[in-house]
Amino acid sequence: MLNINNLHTHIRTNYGNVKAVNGATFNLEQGEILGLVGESGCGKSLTALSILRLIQKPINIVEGDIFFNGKNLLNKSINEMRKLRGKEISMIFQNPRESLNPVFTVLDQLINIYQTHLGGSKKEAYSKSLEMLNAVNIPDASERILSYPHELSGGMCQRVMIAMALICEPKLLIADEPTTALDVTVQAEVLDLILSIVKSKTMSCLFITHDLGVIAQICDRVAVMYAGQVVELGRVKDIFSNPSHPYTVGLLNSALRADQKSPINVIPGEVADPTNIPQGCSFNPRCNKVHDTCYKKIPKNVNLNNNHIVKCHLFNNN
Amino acid sequence: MIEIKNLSKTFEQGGNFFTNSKKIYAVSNVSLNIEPGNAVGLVGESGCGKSTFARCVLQLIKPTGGSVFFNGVDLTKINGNSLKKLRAKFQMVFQDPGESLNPRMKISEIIGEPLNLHTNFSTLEKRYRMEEIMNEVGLKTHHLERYPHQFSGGQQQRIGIGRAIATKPDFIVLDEPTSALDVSIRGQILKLLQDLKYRFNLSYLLITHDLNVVLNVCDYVAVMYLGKIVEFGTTESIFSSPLHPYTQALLSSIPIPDPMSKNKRIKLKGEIPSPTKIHKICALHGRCPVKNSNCDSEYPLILEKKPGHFAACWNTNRIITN
Amino acid sequence: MLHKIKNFCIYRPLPAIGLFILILFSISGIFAPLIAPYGPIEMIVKDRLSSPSLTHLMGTDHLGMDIFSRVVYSARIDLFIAVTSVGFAMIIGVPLGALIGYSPKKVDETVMRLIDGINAFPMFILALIVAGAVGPGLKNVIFVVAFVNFPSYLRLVRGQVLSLKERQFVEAAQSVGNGYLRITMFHILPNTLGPVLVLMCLNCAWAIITAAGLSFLGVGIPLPEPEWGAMVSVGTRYALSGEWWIAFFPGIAITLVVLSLNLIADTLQEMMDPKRRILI
Repeated sequence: MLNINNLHTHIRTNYGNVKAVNGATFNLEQGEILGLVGESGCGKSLTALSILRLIQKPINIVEGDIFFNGKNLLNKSINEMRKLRGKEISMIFQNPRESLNPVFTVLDQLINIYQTHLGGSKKEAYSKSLEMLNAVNIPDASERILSYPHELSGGMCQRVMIAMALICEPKLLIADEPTTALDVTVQAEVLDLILSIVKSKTMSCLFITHDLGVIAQICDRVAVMYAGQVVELGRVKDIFSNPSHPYTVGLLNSALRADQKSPINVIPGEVADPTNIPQGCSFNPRCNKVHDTCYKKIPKNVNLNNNHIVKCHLFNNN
Repeated sequence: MIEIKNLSKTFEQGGNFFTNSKKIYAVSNVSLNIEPGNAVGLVGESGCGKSTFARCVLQLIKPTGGSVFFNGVDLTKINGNSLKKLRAKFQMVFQDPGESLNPRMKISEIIGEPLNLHTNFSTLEKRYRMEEIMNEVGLKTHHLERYPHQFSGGQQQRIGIGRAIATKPDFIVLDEPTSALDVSIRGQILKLLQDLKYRFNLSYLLITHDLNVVLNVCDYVAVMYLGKIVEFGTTESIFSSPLHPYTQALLSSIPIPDPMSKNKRIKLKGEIPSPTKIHKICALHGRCPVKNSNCDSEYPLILEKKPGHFAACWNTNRIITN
Repeated sequence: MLHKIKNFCIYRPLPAIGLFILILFSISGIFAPLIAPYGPIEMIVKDRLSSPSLTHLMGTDHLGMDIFSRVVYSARIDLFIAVTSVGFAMIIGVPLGALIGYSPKKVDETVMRLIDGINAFPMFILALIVAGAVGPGLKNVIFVVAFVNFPSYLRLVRGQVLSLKERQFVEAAQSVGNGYLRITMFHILPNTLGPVLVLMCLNCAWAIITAAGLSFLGVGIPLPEPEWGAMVSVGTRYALSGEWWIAFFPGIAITLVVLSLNLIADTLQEMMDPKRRILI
């Protein structure tokens, strides 16, 4: 239901064009949770913002298509996008405290969204808001609904944000690192919550994170991003059991596990600098399987079995 | 050899002429020993007091009670000058590498400062030592002339570590050294820390909320909740058989990067209470999935339940299953 | 180097213009004897109240003194006042602000109440009061402006220090073994200089206006010394009778200098941030 095709989002700076998203291609099916994993600077957050077109100069979408249920979002006007946001596509962000307006109560913020998109009386909005707060497991919802954000803990704020995102029952939920700022026990609860709500309402979810553990636990498919491109895409089971792109291999190897002690593996070098992307394959300075072609040509997407796609020269000739 | 005995820190918040100030019991009666060459991990969630504890150990915050013995000298009782001189022997690595480096100082000035303060090195000796440090942390000597903002997060943390080892200390406190770093860089920094620990026989107090880090770098683990240590033991023991319900909940919540093994989570009810009361009974009361009659009436002392493995719980003979 | 200057003018036209105007005035001040066709207090009575012409580019005033020469000479005095009074205010205010910001609460509170006392007066009124007490004259004007201004530096720096002292690099400096004085002066203070520089620019502008105002009211630079404000004062008496040039040109001079300083101040802080040093 979501098809991103060769997305290029560039930032114009004094130093030149920063190709933050440099030809990202992936798709999201109805009812599934797609994980978008990568490190800082790989362009995952900007991809999410591009979908909702929450970007302004000097950031521009210069090329590509974003198809949502068959319609190209890049062709829509700002007003049409505004009607879409919060209603058909919702987003939740990393730092819940930053995303809630500190001078409005939870109720005000929920009612605001409900009435903007669905109209209705205050009473309807109120009861729907209460229903949402209960759905996200906020204890004593009828009292908490009147609280201000600073009176709530981080985990609660995040749940409120989820309630706000889901109150209009969107078809697509984009979650940008929603649990990174939370404690591990709170994170586990919020993840359970997202999983259960998405599955029960057969929504689709684009889940952005850098934590492979989270991907393994709740995502159906995963897209691995590096330097603005998707370098590997496929089912979580396939990718974890058979990681193909050297970056994915490195990432999985360097992931620390709490259930078994393992020697620490590292990927040498530094995370790609979006202002200085290497020629050819952008991973070539850090790749342990690099060869000549990697410095000259950009790799094409290769479909291994089962819709497991890799963007790497190692698989080109097969 | 570091012996921390009954360390407490209480903050006073608010309060003026008309109202009483609120007391926050950040750290309550914590005792811990760190042997030379050992890394002790201190884990807990936000608000449990671990950062405050770390700073109290190093006397960056003055504790309200208790003592910290460093090789037999009580750091809480000595005067400012003697403390300053001893600082050459214990250092700290901070969480946010970009923030912990003075943006207006060159790298040579940053790692040269401890040398200036604690040694009588000549300019040449200082330069030699600085180049040595850069090598040890995996950076190049020409980096000495640059400013912090010209480096990536991982490199900045290496500089922070370089500054900490400059005076060849015995003990380093690390406050979430990898939390602000990318996943692929985390491994590099942890490897560096392991390396330095073996080469220089350093002791670490590693504060983190990330249990994965602890498993791979630390020899012992202390679990902290609401200002108290609720469990302590070797890393193997704690990870293989956690005794305290809080530790069990914590360990079961970590998402495992393996889609084939799903977490069996142990859930705690409710939220972490705020540390504004002294607890006469177990701090986990009300949230704990296990309970017996003692839990309501007395505070469980931290006792040795298995050899070398301590826990503060009345129910430690039961491992919780879902 | 030339390339950098060119880039500067293209990317930041406004402060470039401001800087250019300031340099122009500074040069005219320094080289006044070479530029001015007449002496600063040379009275040519037969030419009095003549409108701008080829012999008197900006006309003459009621005493026959050439306005152009006086404007040029006055640049010396006004810029000198600006630089020295702001310099003094800064030398006193900045270190004091830093020490107070990093000192225990009681010390901080006491000193701040004293400063509040000074600040309770509207700045210009205070300037008037002090000027009235010490009398007119160049040295006194400098003293007055410095005295009225140093609290702003103190406050600004103290505010900066209060927030900076919570930053992790200050904590790191403590853990390494630095003492109180060294942390204040060496670690915290240099990081407060960005806003201080901006304040200095704006202050220079204010210093000139104050000096002009004091002279206008007769308690600043006494006549017949050339000073823009005093000249404007004289000029107001003749505005209605049609001799507009007496007040106009000194007024323009004040406006231009104050404007340039403001334009420069706008961009200065951004440039002072070491993270942006790469940019020009």
